[in-house]
Amino acid sequence: MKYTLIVYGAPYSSQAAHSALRFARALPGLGHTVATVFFYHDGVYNASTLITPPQDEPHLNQAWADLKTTQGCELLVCVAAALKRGVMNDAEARRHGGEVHNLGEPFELTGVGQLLASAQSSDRTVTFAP
Amino acid sequence: MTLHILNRSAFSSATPDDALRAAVPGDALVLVEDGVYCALDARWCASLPLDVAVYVLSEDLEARGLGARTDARVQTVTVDDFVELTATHSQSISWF
Repeated sequence: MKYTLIVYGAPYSSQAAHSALRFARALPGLGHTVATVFFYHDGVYNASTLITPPQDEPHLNQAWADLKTTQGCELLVCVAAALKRGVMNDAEARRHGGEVHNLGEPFELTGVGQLLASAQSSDRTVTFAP
Repeated sequence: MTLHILNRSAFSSATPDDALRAAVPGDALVLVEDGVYCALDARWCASLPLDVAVYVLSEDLEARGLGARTDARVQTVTVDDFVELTATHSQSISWF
């Protein structure tokens, strides 16, 4: 089955991101795939490339990137939730007159419409909240 | 059939009671993260409907040192079992 996962939890604040990763990593072994991970609300912080945990703790931003490498899933970030939290790519930073950005490949800024499209084209949608 | 995914403790939140009120016969409920504490709450477990299967994620139980202390009504499952529960139920609701 194809899965869409929605992540509401900020990294290191709750178990949400860890639970979602654990779930996503278990899917292929059971014949399933994760098609899309959608980061919403405080979950958008998972997409910040500035995340720098101590070396003996999981690197969540890297873990999501690795998930895309191994499973080919999309990593979609709600643009409205991200911008107001200071998470943005180069294009949005320029548009708003900023000089720095902290989001890039393999994460993509998208609208909530993209979440609906993903959920509709997936067999299952599972939410991981704080 | 709906799979209810619950990550709140019944000792500190009313959400687990809300989830039970929303569950209908044939639904299942899986306790994850701090939701595993519900499996130790005699009051909450006594209110479980007989026709709703209740599971608890072993990895989250073990992480909290609660391995062998769950109510008899609650069945321990692995992460793989949790994934399969989402596959065998047509939809899921995450309670938080």
